[in-house]
Amino acid sequence: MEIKEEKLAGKSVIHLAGNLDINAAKALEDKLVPLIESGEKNIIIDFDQLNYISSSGLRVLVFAANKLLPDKGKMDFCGMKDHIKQVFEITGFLTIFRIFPNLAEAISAK
Amino acid sequence: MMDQKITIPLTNQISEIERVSDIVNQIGGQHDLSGEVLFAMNLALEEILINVIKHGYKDDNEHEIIVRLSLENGELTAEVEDDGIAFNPLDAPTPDINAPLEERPIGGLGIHLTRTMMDRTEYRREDNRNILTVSKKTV
Repeated sequence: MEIKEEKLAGKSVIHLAGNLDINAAKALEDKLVPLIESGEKNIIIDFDQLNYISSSGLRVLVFAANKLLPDKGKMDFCGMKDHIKQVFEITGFLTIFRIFPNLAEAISAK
Repeated sequence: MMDQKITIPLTNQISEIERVSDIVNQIGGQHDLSGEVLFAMNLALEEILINVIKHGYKDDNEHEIIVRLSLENGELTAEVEDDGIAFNPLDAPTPDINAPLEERPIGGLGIHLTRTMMDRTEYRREDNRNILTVSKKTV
């Protein structure tokens, strides 16, 4: 999996490309945890180029989102393919995360 | 569609999972299976194999895990056979998927996804081995 980070309108956007499997989960954790610990409160995870996610990936997302809770930080998602959205639906992740159709809408969301 | 059967012997290493997924995708390419079917099968196999590799053994020895893939009767089927401790993951309770973020269970999501996304799941214990079969309809 490829991970790219950029700052847009004061938010940290993490672009993921490829497969968020057990091997990639650690790399994502190593990206997100220092970012949150450095005080970032607005994170957008862009799934536009992501083709695969397993429970190992979901686990990292929950872990990171929980680290954001004490300072009322946000982690939103965008560009999700239907089959990945289905994984979010089955696991109840649609009720804990905000999913936007595209990056522009995620950026402008409050 | 031509039927196909393939046996993949693995060792109990996480790195082996990618090899299985490569073969699943290869079969998918050869038989023009949909992305949805391949995604579901790769996901189920990753979840099942991680369970076996992480929780199935009481020692640190190398163990063999056998994955048998078959494509017949309009179904893509994977049978995962291991010599780990007797464990039927299909019996695992459904995690609370409505819990608030801070109370989200960490375990159980993988098998919940597997049960939900596969059309058929079946477990049996035979000759001290766990045999878990999962099938996805291809049409």
